[in-house]
Amino acid sequence: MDDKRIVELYLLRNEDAVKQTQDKYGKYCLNIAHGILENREDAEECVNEAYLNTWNCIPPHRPQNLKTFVGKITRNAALKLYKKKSAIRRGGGQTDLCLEELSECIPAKNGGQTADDAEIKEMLNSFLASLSADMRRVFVRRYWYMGTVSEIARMYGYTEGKVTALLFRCRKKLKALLEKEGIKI
Amino acid sequence: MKSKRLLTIIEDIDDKYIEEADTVTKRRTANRVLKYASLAACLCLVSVVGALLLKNVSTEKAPSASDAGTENIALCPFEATAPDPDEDWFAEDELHHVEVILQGNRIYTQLSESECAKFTADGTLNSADYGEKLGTVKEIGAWDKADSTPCAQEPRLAGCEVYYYKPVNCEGLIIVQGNGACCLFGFNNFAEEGNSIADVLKVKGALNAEDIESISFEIQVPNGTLIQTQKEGTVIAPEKISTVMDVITKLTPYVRESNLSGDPDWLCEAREEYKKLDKEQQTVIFVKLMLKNGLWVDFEYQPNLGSGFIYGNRFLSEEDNAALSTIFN
Repeated sequence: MDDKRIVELYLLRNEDAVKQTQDKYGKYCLNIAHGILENREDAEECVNEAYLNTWNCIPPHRPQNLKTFVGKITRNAALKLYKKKSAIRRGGGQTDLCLEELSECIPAKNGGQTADDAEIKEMLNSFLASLSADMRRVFVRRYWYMGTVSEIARMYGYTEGKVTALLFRCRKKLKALLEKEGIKI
Repeated sequence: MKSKRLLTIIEDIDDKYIEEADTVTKRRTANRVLKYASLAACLCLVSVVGALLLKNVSTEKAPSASDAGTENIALCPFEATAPDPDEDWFAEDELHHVEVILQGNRIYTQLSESECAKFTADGTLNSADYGEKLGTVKEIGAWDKADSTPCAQEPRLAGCEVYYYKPVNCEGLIIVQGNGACCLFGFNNFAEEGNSIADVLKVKGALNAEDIESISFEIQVPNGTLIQTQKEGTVIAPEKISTVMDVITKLTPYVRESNLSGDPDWLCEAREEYKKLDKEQQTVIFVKLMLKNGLWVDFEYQPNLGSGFIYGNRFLSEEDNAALSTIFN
């Protein structure tokens, strides 16, 4: 079933919408959640929550791209669950590593007013637009999908060293941009 | 705390980037392509006969570019269409690879618009850009190394004409045009393992040190779970470029037993030893040879792994390792 039809089912409050979403994007969402939580049961719990949230969000929302819409909801739910779990059990996961890596991007002396989310989002989009397609994919795969370096390497046919190097260059560029634009996180 | 905020806001990046990272035109690696080895073996008899017939066809003189009406052809990239029949890492449907396989072994992937712009200032192709015609792309379901016809998995490439891109004066860039699109494709890799850096350089037109403009490098060392750049630089001295070329063209690639087998034992054992070294000694040098024709060749060099290791190859001799590491230090 195409996405438009599935969104219509949501708008009509037809519960088949959830079933169709699950059939079409279940694995996609599960992989996003698993990339963050690294636990099958937690990932499944999170994806179920994402379906419920999607049901609650449409309407009023009417997404143009259902795949990324439900993907974002899943990622958000997984990060929340991760935060909850990591309060009990710290360290080791990809999310911790991603956080540690991203801390490299934050300029040391970051004066001025803290930017709001919209400003940072706009800056991130222009940063991504400035990257080569290869670098952009690797960056998004790592920090949006939370893929491991070896997964990304396998996916794009690179060596792990190359992925690490690309990510390193991306972070360096992002830091330079944050400094140049005077954006305080 | 700040990185948590950044990680959270990344969630709201533009959908097109999220989609792009999930539906990519993957670079086919030797590992992946080797999956088709068993299929290729089954088709061996048919392929040999086919290859012989096609060899005869490919020796026929191709029509000239001007005959084909190729003046001021605007570059317009191909878009992938149908789902890939391979199961991908996420077990999701994804788009076909926008790539052409030439002579059953060389994989060319479509260049981005910005990459094309490096070669064609005004974004158009003219008759002077068209080199030898290589044939018409045939759509394939699975890789067949014995088939010398240009082939592709993406249906939109089927029936397109393939020419070498003449200005680079080598086989590193091709023009693929037809079905309302036209784009440059760059040599990405060989479909099978076992090809040397010298083979890659040859395809890209670097036959000796004189063909190299400069060599840039970046030395990285581990820093916890991260890495940091220790040094960056560019080598332009002809004698140093000549030394690098001498060393890397002597390298012997290794071939794994199968796509399911990991790295060879000698490499795994050397890696175990390597892990025991101080972090400062675990350097990785990313080397990029910039060719005079605008193309480049890059590789990773680990001077302290074994007697010096360049990915995909057997260890360097101690003398060559010493010569190479001196240049980058």
